[in-house]
Amino acid sequence: MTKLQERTAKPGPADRPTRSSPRTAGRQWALLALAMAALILWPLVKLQARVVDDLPGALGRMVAIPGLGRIYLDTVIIAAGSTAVAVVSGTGLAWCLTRVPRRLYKWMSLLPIVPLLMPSVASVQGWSYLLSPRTGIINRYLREWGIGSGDSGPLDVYSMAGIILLTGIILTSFVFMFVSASLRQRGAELEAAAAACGASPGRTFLTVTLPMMRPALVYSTAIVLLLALGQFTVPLLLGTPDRIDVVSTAVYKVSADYPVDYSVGGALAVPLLLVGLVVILVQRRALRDERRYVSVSARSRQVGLTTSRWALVPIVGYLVVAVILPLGALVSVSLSPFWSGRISPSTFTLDNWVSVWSDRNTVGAITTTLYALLITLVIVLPLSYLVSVALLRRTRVPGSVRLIVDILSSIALCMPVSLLGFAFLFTYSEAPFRLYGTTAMVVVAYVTLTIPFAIRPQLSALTAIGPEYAEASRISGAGSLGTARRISFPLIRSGLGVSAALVTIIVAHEFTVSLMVTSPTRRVIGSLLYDETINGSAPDVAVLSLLMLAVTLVGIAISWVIAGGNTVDKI
Amino acid sequence: MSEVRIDRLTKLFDSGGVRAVDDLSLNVAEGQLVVLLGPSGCGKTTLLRCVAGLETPDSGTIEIGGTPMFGRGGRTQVPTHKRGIGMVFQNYALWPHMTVEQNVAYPLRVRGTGRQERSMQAREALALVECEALAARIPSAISGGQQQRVALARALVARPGLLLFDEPLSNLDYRLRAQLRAQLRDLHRSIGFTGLYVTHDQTEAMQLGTVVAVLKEGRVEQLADPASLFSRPASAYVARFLGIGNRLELARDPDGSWVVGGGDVRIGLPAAGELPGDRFDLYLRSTDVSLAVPGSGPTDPDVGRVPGVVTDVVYSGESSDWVVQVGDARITASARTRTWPFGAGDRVEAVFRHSTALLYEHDDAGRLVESYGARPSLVS
Repeated sequence: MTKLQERTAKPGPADRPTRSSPRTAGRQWALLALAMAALILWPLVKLQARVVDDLPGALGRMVAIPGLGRIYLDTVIIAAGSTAVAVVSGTGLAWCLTRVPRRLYKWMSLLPIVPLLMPSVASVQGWSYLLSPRTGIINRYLREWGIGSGDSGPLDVYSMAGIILLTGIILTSFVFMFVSASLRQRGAELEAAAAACGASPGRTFLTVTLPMMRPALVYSTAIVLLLALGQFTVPLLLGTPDRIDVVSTAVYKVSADYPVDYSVGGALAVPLLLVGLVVILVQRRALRDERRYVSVSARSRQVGLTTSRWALVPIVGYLVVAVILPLGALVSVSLSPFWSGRISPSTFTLDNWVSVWSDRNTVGAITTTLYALLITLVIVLPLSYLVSVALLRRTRVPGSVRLIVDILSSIALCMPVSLLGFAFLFTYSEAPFRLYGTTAMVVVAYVTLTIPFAIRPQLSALTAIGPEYAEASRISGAGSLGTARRISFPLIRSGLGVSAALVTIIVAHEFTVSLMVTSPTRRVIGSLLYDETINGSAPDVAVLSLLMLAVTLVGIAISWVIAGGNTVDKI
Repeated sequence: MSEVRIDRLTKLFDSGGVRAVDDLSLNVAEGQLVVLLGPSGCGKTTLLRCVAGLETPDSGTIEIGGTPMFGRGGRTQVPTHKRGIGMVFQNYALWPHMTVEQNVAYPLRVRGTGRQERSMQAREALALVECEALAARIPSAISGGQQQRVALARALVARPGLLLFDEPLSNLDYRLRAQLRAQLRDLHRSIGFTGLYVTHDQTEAMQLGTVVAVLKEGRVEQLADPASLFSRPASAYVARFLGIGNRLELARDPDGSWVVGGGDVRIGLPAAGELPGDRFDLYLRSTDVSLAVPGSGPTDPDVGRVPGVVTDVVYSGESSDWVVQVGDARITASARTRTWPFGAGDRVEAVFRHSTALLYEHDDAGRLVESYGARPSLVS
């Protein structure tokens, strides 16, 4: 029977075209995959194509960079060292948390995450006020107490050790989050079961606790190692006096020269790109057999573990080192008329805070940052919602689209930020875009950077609520849009809020890409701050660092509203 | 109007590796409640989800009320929300961010019913399931049984042509289950909806179904009303699934008797000459087996008897189960507690009537041997 005959034979209502015909649905989702590829893959491919085109010349000019071997060596040393610091201290904190007295548990579980709110530029600045060899507050006190001599030392933050420790401290929160989540999901019942089978505590730790923690440990080590390899802020701000360079800072220095030698910058970052790709491959293999997102009931409890007040010491200690000390240093510097390395409350003044608002550059940078943040949120939240829906296994999105979107978002996660920034600069400052110096360029960069982070919370929220709520709505007669608006959005509201918070934190703290894609005429807080560290006064830098923190907190408050405050309890 | 016709439906999973629904045809007449019964993995939920439009079949057709919902190799495909159906989910799927009344009124709301009207109808539907007092509560604040009833009210409120039930009672404890079964039965009698009901619980199937379809590996193994289903299960699979658990393997001996389970226990079968093979499985309902002192009892030709040893007596209140080892098989005789004086270790004879027993071919299909049992006239 031909199509025509069939159509005339059965003039039922089903012959009218319907919205969810699989072929058009596939086309719409293919469009999403295409948009993701344009955002994430295109700049990287374009940059690497440039490198390949210009290969012999690029290699020659790259080898001519003084101390090239040293750059790679230092990158590896800093990455390995700070990863070790972060994994050990993050795991230790997670373990301490399980031993904290029950009534303090909720508060203590939040403390190690607080440092994530602190921009790393701010904590590096704070620590440089504390530990710079001549004017560091701590160094001054140590010298007064007779430790060390002369007018410098004994401690020096502008050193390899300083960079490794500070990077490690900043990355500790990430390890803590992964490991602690895995410990919490499982509860203590499995350990209790091992004990009931006659295993000693030591044996239980070796045969149950450690193997159960292994996926989280491996995963967080890989992520932190990637972040440490691409680390930019700490080496840039602390490495200059001792001429310590890593790949990211080298790439940045290439981008700061005019005309920019794109092929050399792209070639420099190739090893990091390869490591990122390897991590993606290994991760995909490792996750293939497991169920990727297991939602575990919250019923598991930490029962029967002995608790101790001593467990509070490392947790509070970490907060002091990562937040309170640098924040205190920043506040006192921002209130001082000039920086001498001595805290003298009698001279405290608000002049620096007042003068900031009369400075056109600062006001412009704050406005641009807030504006870019807003536009980024408006673009990223719907886009990442669509991507999460596409990634959900149970939806009818074509498998090929799901795979592509999945790989693209892991690429965006695993590429060093400095390389991304450099690729953005290359792609969007040339024709046909010519966006250099506009807010649009900043927004495109921020959108690409934040998408993978905005996907995860929504994906977990969608996974956790299960398919039935949406199905029940379709059964009730609601279409896809109505179901999304009335059922899915309200139910994943907390996930949307977390996404918004993450986007806010990343954008407000953004330093690496901002330095590369902003022009002197259109700066964001991050790039203005770097200019001030070179040309400006210490109190101004402190004020800007604190403003960065303030923008973060405002954004978090907005996300809290999006999340609807107590919706979490409702669900 | 609300007649369902499923014709040669096939749904593959894992790129064709698993035939969840395999060339299945099934009709539901108006006003019928057809129960899809089977163990997990037999395809019953997949079939239901295909009818709902939540899964896309690979081939075949589905019509609801004369309107094609799926067919022509997927070119006809009415989306779920336009199929005019209601569904009760296993975990109820009540939206946690809406009150009970908002949940129930939702199908009316998306159909554009006015606020007043839908509130009235929602309360009517809630009254139908005796939950009108819960209207202002949120779902997490009411009990499981109440959630289930609210879910039912939500499915009923828009008067859908077809109601689908996906194991709606399996998350409840057995007392509540019995109560809600009775309520559903009453509702079906009073409003006469057309429905498809998925369950793995044979009691539910027997009590609720006007027709029961037993599913096996994506196909309908037997389609019958509950009474004929239980009295003559068409295959050993159906018999086992209905809880007929006593099985004796029989092999024909050259001397004409039958060897039970390869051991030295022998048994005579009536009209053995007419049986179409040499190996069979004899299934006995535990309530159809009685126990006697060896050598005593009636010698009716309809009566079969096999010797055995009591290994255990399982006391369960009003009734008890006597477990008897017969050769290498174990059979259970159930009766009111203290019916028989036997205890563990006693030698007994397990006695049954051929007219109540079921004989199946000893192969994968396990078809019922029609010439045996149920027709005592054949016994000579």
